[in-house]
Amino acid sequence: MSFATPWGLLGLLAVPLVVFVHLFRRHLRERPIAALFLWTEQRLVADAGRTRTRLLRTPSFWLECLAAATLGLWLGGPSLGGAVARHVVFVLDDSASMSSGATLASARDEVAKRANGLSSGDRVTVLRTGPHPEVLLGPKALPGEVASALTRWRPVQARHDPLPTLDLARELAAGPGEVVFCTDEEPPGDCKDLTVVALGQGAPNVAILTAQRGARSNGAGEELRLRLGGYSGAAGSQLTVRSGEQVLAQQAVELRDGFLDLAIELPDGTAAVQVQLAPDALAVDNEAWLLPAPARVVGVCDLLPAAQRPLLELDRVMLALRGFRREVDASRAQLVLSDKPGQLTAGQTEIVVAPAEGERDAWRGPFVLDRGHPWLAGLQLEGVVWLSSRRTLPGHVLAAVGNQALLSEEFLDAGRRLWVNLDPSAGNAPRSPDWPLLLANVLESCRAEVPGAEMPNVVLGNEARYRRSLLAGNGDTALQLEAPDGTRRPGHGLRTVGWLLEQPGLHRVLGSDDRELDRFAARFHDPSESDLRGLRTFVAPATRAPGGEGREGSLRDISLEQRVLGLLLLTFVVLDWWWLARRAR
Amino acid sequence: MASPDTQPETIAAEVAGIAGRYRLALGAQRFRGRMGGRRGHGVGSSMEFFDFRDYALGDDLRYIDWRSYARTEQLRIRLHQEEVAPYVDVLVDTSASLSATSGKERAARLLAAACLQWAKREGAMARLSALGGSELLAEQLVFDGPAGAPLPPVAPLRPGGVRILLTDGLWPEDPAPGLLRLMTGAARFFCLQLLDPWELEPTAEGAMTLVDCETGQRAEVQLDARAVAAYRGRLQRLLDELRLLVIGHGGDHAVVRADILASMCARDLLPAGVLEPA
Repeated sequence: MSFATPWGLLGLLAVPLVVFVHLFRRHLRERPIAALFLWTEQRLVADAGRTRTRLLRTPSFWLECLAAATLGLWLGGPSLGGAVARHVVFVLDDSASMSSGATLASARDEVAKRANGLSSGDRVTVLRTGPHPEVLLGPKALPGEVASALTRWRPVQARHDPLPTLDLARELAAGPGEVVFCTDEEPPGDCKDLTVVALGQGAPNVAILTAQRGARSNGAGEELRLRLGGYSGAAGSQLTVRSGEQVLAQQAVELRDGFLDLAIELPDGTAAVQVQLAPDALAVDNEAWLLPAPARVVGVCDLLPAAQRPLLELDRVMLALRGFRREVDASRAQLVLSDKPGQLTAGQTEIVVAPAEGERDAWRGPFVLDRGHPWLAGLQLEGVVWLSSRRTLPGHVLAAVGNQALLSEEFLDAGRRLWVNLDPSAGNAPRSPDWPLLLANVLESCRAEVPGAEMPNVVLGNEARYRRSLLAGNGDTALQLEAPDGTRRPGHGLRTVGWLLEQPGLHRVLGSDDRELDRFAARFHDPSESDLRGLRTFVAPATRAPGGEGREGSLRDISLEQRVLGLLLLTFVVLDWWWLARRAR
Repeated sequence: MASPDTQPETIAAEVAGIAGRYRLALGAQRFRGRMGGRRGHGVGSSMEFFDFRDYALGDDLRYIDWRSYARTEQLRIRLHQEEVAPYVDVLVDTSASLSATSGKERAARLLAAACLQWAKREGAMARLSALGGSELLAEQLVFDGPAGAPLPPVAPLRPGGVRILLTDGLWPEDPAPGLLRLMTGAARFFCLQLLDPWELEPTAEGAMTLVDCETGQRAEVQLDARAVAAYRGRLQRLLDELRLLVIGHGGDHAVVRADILASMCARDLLPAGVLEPA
């Protein structure tokens, strides 16, 4: 107990408090008698004067003083020189190779065995390696809680540097702590201050290195392109491709040079595809899920006057564009065509072809273009005669001629706007090849704003991103991602919601009322983790304490002293209660 | 409301069962009273010879001493002792200290009722009076009087009678003047000093608040062995002073420990000479 433990000092204040109460606020048992004058000399309180009375040293008084003093000692955490409490920081390698063979089970047993060997006064912290260190348990949790933390440890991450996690472990274990790094290979860097427990074992393994789903080379239908890799002498496996309950392909594969490229045609309309290899040392790289590329159809709302439409050649241009649909409700469209600026929502783009007014100029060039802007990609404007009004366009200029801006981009609080200073009644700009190219570029940029999964097929460790509509009634106000094991995580973000995927398989994006909005397919991809040749098994005890030699601030196991004091405190309280109850009778 | 132990019926039943075994030890004193079986102060019609006197006209011829006439030829009358039933005044201290405990109050009621019963058995005219108060019945005893020195009752005490004072004798003032007034003119005076067992032998019970049942004064007292010893010393001095005062003026003094009537009679009153076997 010291001044660093103020609870102990505060607890000791209870002793003078007990004395004060006994001096000034005393309730004694009453007895009616016939002759008080015979007891005059034994009186404790003077008939007049101060209210303080002579201190009664009754058993109750002593018991209460002892209880108060014991309470103070108990709160102060006294030590009679008991054993130093240990603080063990377990660092679990979360790379996928840790789940190969029996490595994961052995590692769990090893950590559990070491935790069980600790006393109840010791403390443990469990960290998981990764791009960002993660605390699975603690800091300084009870050893008995390690088992539950180990059940949450399912290593599936790609290769990563464990040093940030080890540095964090060293900081947590500074002083009396020790660090146990549970891995399957030689740790990087100087790890003499750590106890390294490597439990890996090399084994043959076949992995799916690449799995892609795309259009066939002839443009008709889809095909599945796979690249398989074999390590440690693995020369073959059994490949199965399923879509739901339907087996699309099943064949034995032979890896001649350690690799094999395959292309499997998929029937039209095939939904999610599951590619599976025969079980081997590492399970996580034997399976891949692939979802079809989403049809991201852009909603286009045309609000241009009917007279302006033929002048802008819109019907002809729209015939050349793909991947859009006409939308009557402007609020639900990603692209809006109009002759005057309107109210936009987030993610919307508006093309405003303002009517000609005032004096106009016909320009033949030279045109100055912002070629770095995606909207102007490929535009040349050669041979184009552009008839424009003499006006100032808002936003920053994308295309200009002379001192006249022809195209400008205006960023709004919600959405953005393309101003087109064009009088289609004359000139040849709407009939030039650059006009549909400009609209196609804008349309493609709007495609990214279509609600839904941005990339349905995601590699483990990457972020799955879902774009919300931000429209009431679409049910995507609150999103959750349901992992293959049924666990759910809420999504955060305004327009785009992202989740870091940690489990292979199909994940569902759930909106309001658990309605499925979209799906993500997560698969493992890291050839260096699939190659199990470098795994080792050894135990390297620490040769020096982590964080230097300093042992100051070490914790002592005071549980025994605290238990004894707690028992004494309880005894004193019970005795005092018994004494008072007996006196009351 | 009286407790079941102090109900008049309960008291009467216990007195009826015990009082018949004893009677007041009145001795050979001469008393005043109505006709009875005890020696009176004057001439009466008992069998016991008292004196001679000359015959006077109108004297009963049956009492002429004929033998003396034969010797002296003078008519003389034989006089016989008067026999009376003495007046008995039971004086009860009705201060609240007599009801300090229920046992003490019950014992007081028992003794008061028993004294009346013993007086009746003597054929005496018994009267129960409160100190400083009026005559009352045993059932009307209420112990709520104030503290203070003993005072005679409102009704004058009858001279030549037996007076039994029932009190605890715990008067803070000097009781001698009041007691002497009570004893004056009595043929026999008994002072029964009734005390609760705890008052006689208090135990060391630690700290407690003592409440005077007469004045309501309170005092926090540490009841340890030293305090108890000091108290007992003071109490003993108080008892001795009262004893000396009573005995010194011809009375009898008995310290009675509050208990059931049988125990009080056998243990305290009989050895003290207040009672004798019937």
